[in-house]
Amino acid sequence: MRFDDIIIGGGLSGLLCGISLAETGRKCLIVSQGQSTLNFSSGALEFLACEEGVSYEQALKSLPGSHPYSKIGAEHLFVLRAEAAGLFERAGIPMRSDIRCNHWRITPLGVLKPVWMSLSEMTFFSKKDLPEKILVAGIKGFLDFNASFVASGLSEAGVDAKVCEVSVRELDELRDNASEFRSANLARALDGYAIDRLAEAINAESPEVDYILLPAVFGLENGKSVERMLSKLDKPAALIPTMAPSVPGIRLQKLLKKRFVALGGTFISGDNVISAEVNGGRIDSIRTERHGDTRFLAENVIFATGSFFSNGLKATPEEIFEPILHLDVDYSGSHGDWFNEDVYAVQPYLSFGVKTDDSLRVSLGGKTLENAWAVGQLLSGSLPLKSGCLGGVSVLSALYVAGQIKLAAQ
Amino acid sequence: MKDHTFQDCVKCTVCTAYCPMAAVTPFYIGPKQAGPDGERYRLKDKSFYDYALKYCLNCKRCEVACPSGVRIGDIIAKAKLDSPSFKPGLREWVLANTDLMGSLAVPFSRALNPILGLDVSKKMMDGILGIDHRRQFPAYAKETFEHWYRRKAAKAQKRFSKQVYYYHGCYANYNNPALAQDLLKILNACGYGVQLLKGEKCCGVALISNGLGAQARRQAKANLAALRKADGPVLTTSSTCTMTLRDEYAHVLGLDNANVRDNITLALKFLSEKVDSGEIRLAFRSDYQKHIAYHTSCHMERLGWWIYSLNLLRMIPGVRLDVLESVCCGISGTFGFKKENYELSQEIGRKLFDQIRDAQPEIVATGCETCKWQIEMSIGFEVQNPVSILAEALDIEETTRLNAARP
Ligand SMILES: Cc1cc2nc3c(=O)[nH]c(=O)nc-3n(C[C@H](O)[C@H](O)[C@H](O)COP(=O)(O)OP(=O)(O)OC[C@H]3O[C@@H](n4cnc5c(N)ncnc54)[C@H](O)[C@@H]3O)c2cc1C
Ligand code: SF4
Ligand code: SF4
Repeated sequence: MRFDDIIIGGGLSGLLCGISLAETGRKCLIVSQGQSTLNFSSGALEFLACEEGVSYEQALKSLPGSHPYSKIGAEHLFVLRAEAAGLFERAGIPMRSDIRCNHWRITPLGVLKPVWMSLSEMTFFSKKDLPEKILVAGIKGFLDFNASFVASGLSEAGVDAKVCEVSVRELDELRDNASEFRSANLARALDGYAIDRLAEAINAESPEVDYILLPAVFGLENGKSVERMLSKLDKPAALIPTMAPSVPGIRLQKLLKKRFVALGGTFISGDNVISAEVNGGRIDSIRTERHGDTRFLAENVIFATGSFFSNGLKATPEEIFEPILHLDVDYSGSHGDWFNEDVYAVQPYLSFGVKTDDSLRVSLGGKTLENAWAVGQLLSGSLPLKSGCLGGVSVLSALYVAGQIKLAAQ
Repeated sequence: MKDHTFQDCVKCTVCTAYCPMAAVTPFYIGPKQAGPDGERYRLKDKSFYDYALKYCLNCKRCEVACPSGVRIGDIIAKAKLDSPSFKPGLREWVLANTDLMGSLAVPFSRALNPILGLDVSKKMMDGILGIDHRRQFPAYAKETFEHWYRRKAAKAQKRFSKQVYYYHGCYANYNNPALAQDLLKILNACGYGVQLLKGEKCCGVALISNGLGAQARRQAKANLAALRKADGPVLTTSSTCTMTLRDEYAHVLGLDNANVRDNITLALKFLSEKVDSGEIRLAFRSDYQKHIAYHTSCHMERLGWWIYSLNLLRMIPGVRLDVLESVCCGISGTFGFKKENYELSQEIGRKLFDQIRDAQPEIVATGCETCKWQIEMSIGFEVQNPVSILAEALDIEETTRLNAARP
């Protein structure tokens, strides 16, 4: 079966690349082995962890040349950030972002964290004018969100934070039964009148506060339950991510996939690309586990297979490798040097990834493949925890590659 | 034989977030607990979590979602078969023996169909067997496909130089021979003769899900023997039979099907690939116009083979195609027929029904016969296998001419 572009991996980077290409009418295939890390992510995307008032342009200057952002270049990144905002908007996903600088969200530990783009129901205020009095509303028996943690974190930042615990009949039923009391289960039980009654219970606790924070357990499929919840509360409010799985993350995954399919894209779930055929410096076709002998042909092949967690990279005591084609990988030292014993220190393995040139083309045995690219967490050189570039690398590398493919096709 | 993939579980609960049953009832513990978690306990006690396993639809949507490749659905299906306390009753036996019921019913179909539709019969089945009175039983055909084939088609198949086999399954044989006839029509026009397997039996999917393991294994062995004798590709029209023959025999029943597995393929995959490679050419009627909504059945989603149906449907010039979001229709074979499951079954199906109502297609296309029953009964839209749609849209004469002229 023939496609214009084949994308391996259906996480954030694969989907954005696919959507961007399909928006110009290209015939795209995405093959994805299982759900991606988007299902665990907060629903907020980081670009760079720079302080308030520091522009992205300034912060970019301090990155090493091996970082994907350095390869893409500051001017491109500026344009691509604007493009990303448009893409989410056309997909009907309300994201808040500023192409120049960060805004702030509150983590499950009550710490303020800089973000570039976030679902509009996540926190957003500037670090300087935090509300004076905040109510953190927890849900009875729900251990994946700890209201006291959030409150004590906020207190350290000088906020007068108080805590309450609420429940409704639907949640009591869920808690008392054998099924798990996890975020996704809660989100399914919480719709319609259950939301209204939960809002009432929270309102009863909130006469003296300026702001309400509550766990992000609304709206697995779309944003309707979120809107309903926020509109029923007496005070302005925002949602805070819970422990995995992440309800806003699952929603993002579903909405992006829906957009890709609506544009005519083909998304095969639960299948694994096992091999690719290389001829004269190009990838001709790929094969998957479920489709056996069927060859999928394409003009371009994009590797969006993620990092170790998603099996985009694999490690043995001897080597780190890319499992589909054994693409060239950037990593250094031997097994003992890959990890840092101190879990809070920079972990070398997190910057390992597939080697690319400045256009993000991959290489095999030192030779660049003309029509094959890498995007997202699979790329080498990002320093996710240190520079806080998690989601940004995925989004912007995907749009960068899509842009080059579209330009070449013109 | 144990399925060791349970050890790869990273406890992320993504499977539970995508399970259609966990979505509608708090009484189902969900795939993570019923599957990989339960498997650890079941190493000690085979009936651990038994009370929950009956909820599992075997839809495999958890497996499709799992980032770690855990075969959750297989683990649960096996646990059901191995559990000493999972005892099938008369109703399970009746519902699961589709083959036997079909061969008893077809000779009397003229009398039986109206009776099955009567309120009193429905009430009786409800009261005595626990088969919900709101269900409509799929009608039985007047003549089985096999019988028709021997009478009308067998001889004509011999004149083709290229031959394929057809595993028709119970539905095409007893309920909808027209589907099988449509496939013959297409394949003949494309220059292929169609042979039946010697001694085909029901694939046994309902026996597996109703806990009749020993009978399922007997039938599977008979099918494997028949499949081994086939000296050409074996084509199918049902996504569930296909998945059962290819995957469940090995993963759930523990039988070795390695030497026949790759030879079993959906007819639409076979056709799509031959068309793409230029070995087959199709000509379509210029007056065929249809608005079609495609529904991906659960087992088609697991196979990933819906792409071939879409590829072919998109070739028909007069077709406007809506691809519905892939969700479970709720019937899950015999599950939805049981009285205690009726409401859950309809609640699961709601997401699909709403999508179809929004799209307002003339026909819903799907590769699964039980989805067809569920959709037709619940919301009254006509449902067809894409094979039948293709057969209607093709210009058979022109297609025959195009393929006959070729070497
Ligand atoms: C637990 C966790 C939490 C995170 N939280 C955040 C957050 O809050 N904010 C943020 O900005 N970032 C977060 N991240 C980082 C996150 O990884 C990126 O933001 C981004 O989602 C990564 O997208 P990706 O598409 O590059 O890779 P992935 O999301 O890893 O997707 C790769 C996909 O490729 C598939 N795949 C792999 N190999 C194959 C193959 N051979 N065939 C077919 N498919 C294959 C995988 O199954 C997977 O679906 C988090 C990461 C993790 C692990
Ligand atoms: S999705 Fe897979 S890894 Fe995650 S809990 Fe379920 S079985 Fe385990
Ligand atoms: S097979 Fe379907 S019903 Fe059973 S646990 Fe998995 S997702 Fe749920």
